[in-house]
Parts: sequence; structure tokens; C-alpha cells
Amino acid sequence: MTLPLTLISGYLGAGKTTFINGLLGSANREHARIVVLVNDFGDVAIDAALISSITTDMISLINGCACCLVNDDLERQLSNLVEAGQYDQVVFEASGVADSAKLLRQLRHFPGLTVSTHLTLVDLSVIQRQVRDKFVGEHIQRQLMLARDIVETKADLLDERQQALVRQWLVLGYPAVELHTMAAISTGVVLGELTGELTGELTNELKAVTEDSSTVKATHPDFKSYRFRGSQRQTKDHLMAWLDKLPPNVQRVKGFVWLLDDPRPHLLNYTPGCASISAYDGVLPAILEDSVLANSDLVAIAVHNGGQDKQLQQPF
Amino acid sequence: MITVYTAKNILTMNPSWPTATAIAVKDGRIVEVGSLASLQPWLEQHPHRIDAQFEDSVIMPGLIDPHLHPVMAAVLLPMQFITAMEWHLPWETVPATVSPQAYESILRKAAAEDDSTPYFTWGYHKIWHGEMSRGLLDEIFGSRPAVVWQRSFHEVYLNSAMMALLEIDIEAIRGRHQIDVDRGHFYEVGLSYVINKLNRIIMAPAWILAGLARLKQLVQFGGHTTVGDMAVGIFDFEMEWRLCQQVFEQPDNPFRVVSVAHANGSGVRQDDLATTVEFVRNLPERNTAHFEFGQRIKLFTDGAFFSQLAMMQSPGYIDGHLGEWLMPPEKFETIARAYWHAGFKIHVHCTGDLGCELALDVLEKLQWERPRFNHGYTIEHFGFSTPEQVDRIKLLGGSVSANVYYLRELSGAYSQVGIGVERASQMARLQSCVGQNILTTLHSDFPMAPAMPLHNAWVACTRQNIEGNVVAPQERLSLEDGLKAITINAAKVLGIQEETGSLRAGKKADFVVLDSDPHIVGVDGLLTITVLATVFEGQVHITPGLS
Repeated sequence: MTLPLTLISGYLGAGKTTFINGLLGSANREHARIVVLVNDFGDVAIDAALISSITTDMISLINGCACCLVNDDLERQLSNLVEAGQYDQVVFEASGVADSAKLLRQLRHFPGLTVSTHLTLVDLSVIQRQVRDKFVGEHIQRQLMLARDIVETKADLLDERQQALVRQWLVLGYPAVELHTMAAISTGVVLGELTGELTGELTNELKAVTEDSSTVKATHPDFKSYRFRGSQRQTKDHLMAWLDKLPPNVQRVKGFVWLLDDPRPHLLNYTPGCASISAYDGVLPAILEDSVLANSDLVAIAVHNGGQDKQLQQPF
Repeated sequence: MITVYTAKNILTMNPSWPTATAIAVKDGRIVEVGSLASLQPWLEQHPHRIDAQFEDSVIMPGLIDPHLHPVMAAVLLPMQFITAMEWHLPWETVPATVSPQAYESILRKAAAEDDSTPYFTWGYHKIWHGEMSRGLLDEIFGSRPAVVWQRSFHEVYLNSAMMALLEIDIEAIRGRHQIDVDRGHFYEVGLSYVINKLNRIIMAPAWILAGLARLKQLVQFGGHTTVGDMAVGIFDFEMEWRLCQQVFEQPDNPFRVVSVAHANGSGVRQDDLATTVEFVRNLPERNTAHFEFGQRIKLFTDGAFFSQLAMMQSPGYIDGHLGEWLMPPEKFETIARAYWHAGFKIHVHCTGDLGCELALDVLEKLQWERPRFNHGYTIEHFGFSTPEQVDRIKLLGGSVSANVYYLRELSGAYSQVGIGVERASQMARLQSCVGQNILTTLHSDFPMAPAMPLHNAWVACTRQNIEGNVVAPQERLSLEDGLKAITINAAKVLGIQEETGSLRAGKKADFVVLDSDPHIVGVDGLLTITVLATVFEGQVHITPGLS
């Protein structure tokens, strides 16, 4: 039995603490013994006070030193949690400037732990300004680029027309994300099987790339996207092993695959440390829906990084 | 009783009275600097003795390193140094080891000792020392646990005996990111896993106390009479304070430690910011003879220089990676504001030019809200910067404390793998600062760089990197400015300039005694000057290993 971990990331002010409060308030108290890890700076107690403590504990992480790794509280606390075995679920509120890709890599293969969900919270009312911010703009762009499931917050600060414009901007600019509203995301989803609930489809932009298996289309100057297509069914184990061996600069893989031992199409979703392949019942693009052709189609997003992505050139 | 020390030359670092040949000391303070003849008005009326033991030597103010990390150093110092560059340590001179064969033979010699306690070495680098692996360490050390720590601190290799000692379940961690169990290699986030187990050994009080005892020798050896602990609370505030007290608060300690708390340090941070500020404000109540706090605080903007996590302005890093903020910029501003309005002097760790930009943008806002003079807002490390930022530091009244060793060790490497030749060459833009009359000092950040102020001054005055290239020669300091940077300017940055940092009547009698005169041997000679002794508050401490 591994301990599931839900990673909640998002910049300062995106509403992570409020979101976690809501989550804890509605969690099934008889079944979920939840521990919240908070990594924050300066005035952590204010955040801590907001987190209700009826069925939960909260652990505030100490920030390690700036220039070496001799002090890593996250690793220490997680080891303690896994060993203690007294919780059913970890909710980890990452600091606003945490590199979530790096965090996920650290959590991947952590003995006794599974990253069950990774949500990125986005304050809809300020996100377009934040991505241009002198100091954190690039970080926030990357956060969006690498996010898998985005939960929008503070939409009520905008009127409906503005909301629609920002959502459209998000979906067009960051095609690999799934956008969720606060209202539509249930506690069960956040703490469990999020992937089963997805109704995503490949966006137009992703369809537009050419047929080659290693075609690159730049969606952002610092990123490359790779397209993988094939018509050979695979085993789930084979695909998982392939994902496991991806070079570290691959931050995101998403798409549809057909498995050898299952008649249904499957949705594959990967961020470092968090991979899933699950049966998909939604509407598929025409080219993928034929089970005889069994066309698989994946897009991978990698940080632009010299020679490290050679491995990606090989078909899966 | 007055003691008069005579010397071949005394460099006072007091520009109005620059040289002398005799210095009179009473009760740990200087009563007059001059010559035996000029001191007569004092000597005629007070009992005195002439101490001629330094008459063939040169006296300067005791050197000051305003930024190092004692407890972090203490983690490292009990380990055996095997390094690609020569290290001068009080207990040994570590020769440069630049071949895999030489490296291995030192390991074999260590393994041959009759000792079964865990073996630790620091300084390994693949470029010089070849491939390292668990298998090789098993073959060399057999059943003795052994750890090879890489020079950057970000990688370790463990042998099987060490893995067993730490109860590492090899199969459970196989495949984890940045862990190669078969080779016993743990790096970056993989190091986080093993460090929590190694901490049982290297953070144990006995280990830290042994390391601090070595640091004490090393600080004296470098010619220091004052050092700054520029982030108490980096591990655990109360533990650090207690252990440092135990080691440094001895009657014969040859230096003082000026301590600055880490604003987010474990044990510093209280329930809310206002309470934390009060906690830090009251720290001087704990001051003892050799260990003092002031109204100062250490904050951080961007990530480690050695890990290329400095935040860079456009065009950033060649490979497109981003640096890291150590806290969200808005939080940095909030914390800085609280301390600014409480009248503190703020020291800001900044490594990249975007980190520096944030520190200066915030300083500009704070000056608008509540203008202050002599506010002591200091850019610490000062890795990358722009000429325009130097102008702003001047306009806003900031100071600079630079780790100039970055350019020595990294300017060549970062030119190739990092940010390119132009910007890498201009690390530690120091002459621009001095030219604008910005208060500028040098530090080691030990254990990040050697705690040898005269060597640091040599780097600042020559800008010669380890590849032998002189980078951005326009930014070289003059000899005089290099010497100011490790004496009076360092004292000013720590706020103790009324007590030490130069030699004049009224100041503490803190000297360093050198075998030759920097003005005679010149910049190139700074590297070969020997520290014969230090005098701390009038007490003579002969450099260990020389007498």
C-alpha cells in the first residue's frame, strides 16, 4: 500500500490555501486521515491558521540552505510520513516559486509514495499580467507549460466576457493543459482518480503538426514539442517503462494509445513522477477512433536542452 | 601596563596616518600609533614594555571576512581534503591531486589506516580524479564505510558498507531520480535522500564540534580577527548558537564572530513576521565577549551560484534553463519592508543580475516610503550585475560584499557552459563599485571558497581565473582598494568600524602580522605572504605550525 500524494502548485495568491481548506472541509472524515505539507516563507502561521485541523495535521517545511543540499526538510518529512503509516493521504502545498517539475522528479519512485494528482492553481484575474512580470513571468509561463490539470480561481473578479477571453487565451497558449473550474472539481477527484474524469481531446494546434514521428513544433521558445505516432498496439508495461526512461528534460506527455490486451482506447498522461494510462470513454478525434487502425498519437513537451533529448527521437 | 609592538612597517589603513613603526596597546585597545619617539608622551607617564618580537615583520589591521558559515564549514572540515587545487590548511597543506592514479593512491593510504570509523573525503571531481563508483570504493575500503563527497557538495558516492550502515534499502530506491544505486552515486535531488541519513553522522554534535574546532584554527591561520556568520539559523538557530558558544566563547579565542540571523532560518522564524522581527531585535541580549548580534538581518533573493540557479536577466542561460527564487519576490519585499521600517541593516544574498535587480527595486521602494541614510543595505555575493545596477547601488546608498572567488573558479567554466564569455567575465564588477565610492568588501562564503583574505584580495586585484586568463581587466582593484576591502571596509559592512578594521588610537588592538609588506611585494606577492601571527584585543596568537 503506497501513500498517495496530491501536489498543489501555483503562484503566490493563486488560492492554494483556500483550495486546500475547501478540500479538507469536504473530505470524507471517516476514511481520510490527511496530512498537509506546507512550504512557505515568512509568515507561514497565517496560512497554517486557515487550514482547518479537524481530521488533519499540518507540517510546515523548513527551507533548506541556499547554497547546498545539506538540509532537505521535504525528504525528511516524507520519509517520516511513509514510515509512520498513520495517514491515508498527503496534500503538499508547494511554495509559489517551487519548480514543480523538479519536485515531481524528486517524488518519483519515492519509496512508499505515489503522486496521485498534480493540480496547478491559476488566478484567472491576474494570470495574463503575471506571465509578463519582470521577476516571475518566465517561471509562471513554465508552470503553465508543464501543468497537467489547471484549476482556475478567482474567476468572480472578472465578468463573463473577460473570463471567456482568459480561458481561451490559456487553452490556445498552453494546449497540453486541462482547465477545470473550482465548482466542477470534486474532492474525490482531487484526492483520487482525476484521470478517469477527463474529457479532453487533442487540440487543433496539436493536430496541425506533420506526420513525422519526431516533428518539432515550437509552442514556446524554450520548449520543444515532439509528436509520436504509431499503429502498433503496445502493452501498458512497455509504455510505462518507456515513460520511465524519458530524459529529465521531458516534462509532459499526453495523448491516446491502444493497448494489446484491451479493446478500448486509452488516455496517457505523464508528468515526471506521475504517469497514468487509463481507459478513455470520451469523444476521440476521427483519426484515432478506429480500433482496427489502432492509431496511437502522443505529444511530448521538453525543455529545450542540447543533446539530452536524443532519446526522444526513437520511436516508442 | 602599556605594551609597545615595534615593526618594520605598520599599515594602519587610516588614510590620514597611513604608516607607522610602533603601536602602543593597553587593556586590549590601541592608545597610539606612531614611532617609538612619537609615543614618548604616553610612555613617559605610564608603565610600559617594548615587545620587539615583530620588529622584522609588517603589521596590518586584523583581517575581516564579513561573510562565512561556521556550522556549514564544520560539516565539511572533519573530512579529508583531496582536491584538484592546493589548499592551505593549518593542519596540513593539501597538494593538488590532478590524476586518477594519484587520487586512488591517497584513498588506498587512508584505507590502510587502522580505523573502522566511517571515512569521508571531500574535493573529488571527475575531470581530475576519474570515474568513481561503489565498486571501486568497496575494493579499496572493504568493510569500512566510506563516502566520497564531490567538490560542489551536490554529489556523493557511498560504498556498500556505508549503505549498510545507513540502512539503505537498495531495491526500494532503485530508479529514483538522480540516484544510481549500483554505482553508489547520489546527486542533486538524489542527494536529498541520502543526506537525511548521513546527517546522523555529519550533523551529530561531536562532528560539528570537531569541525568548529578546526574552523577556529583555519580562521586564525587566514589572519582574521573578525568573521561574520552571515546566516545563523541555516540549520537550526539554537543548535548553532549553542555549539558556536561552546567553541568560540573561550578566553583565548583569537577572533570575534559577528552574527546575522537568517530571516527564514529554523528557530529564527516565529509565528508571524512581527514576532520574528522582535525576536531578532532582542538577539543582542545574548551577546558575549566573542559572539555578537546587531540590528542586522540576512535575506535571500535567488539561488546558488555554484548550481547555476542564479536568476538571470535576458538573455539568461545558454541552455535555456531558469534560475530559482529562494522565496517569491513579493514575500522578499514584505520581509525586507518589515526590517527596513524597524531600522535594521539588511544583507541580501543576490547571485544573478535579476536577483540584484529585485534587491534594488525593493530598496528603491523602501527609500521612497521611508528614506534612510547609512542604512547598510548590502548586496551579498554580487555574482552577476550590470553597470547600470552599480549606478543604482550608488544612488540608493547600498553597499557590496562580493564573493570574488566566483571569478577565479567559475568565470572560465561559465563562459562555456552557462552564460557566455561577455557576462561570465564581468562577475564581481568591483572596480565599478569602488570607482563610484560604493562601500565594497570581499568575503569567502567559506566553505564555498577558501577563507584566505589576502588570496581573495589577490583575485580582486588580478582577476586571474584558474585557467590563467585575466577576465575583464578593467574591473581589477588597485592594491590599496584590495587591502581596504579585507580590513576597514569589511568592518564598515559589519558595523564595527569604530572598534576594528584599521589601526588608530581608541580601536581594539586587532592586528595581523605578516612576513612581508604588501606595498613592497605588490599585488603578485599577496599570494605568498605568510601570516606569522594575529593579535586579538591585545593578545598575541602565533600562527599554528609556524613556531
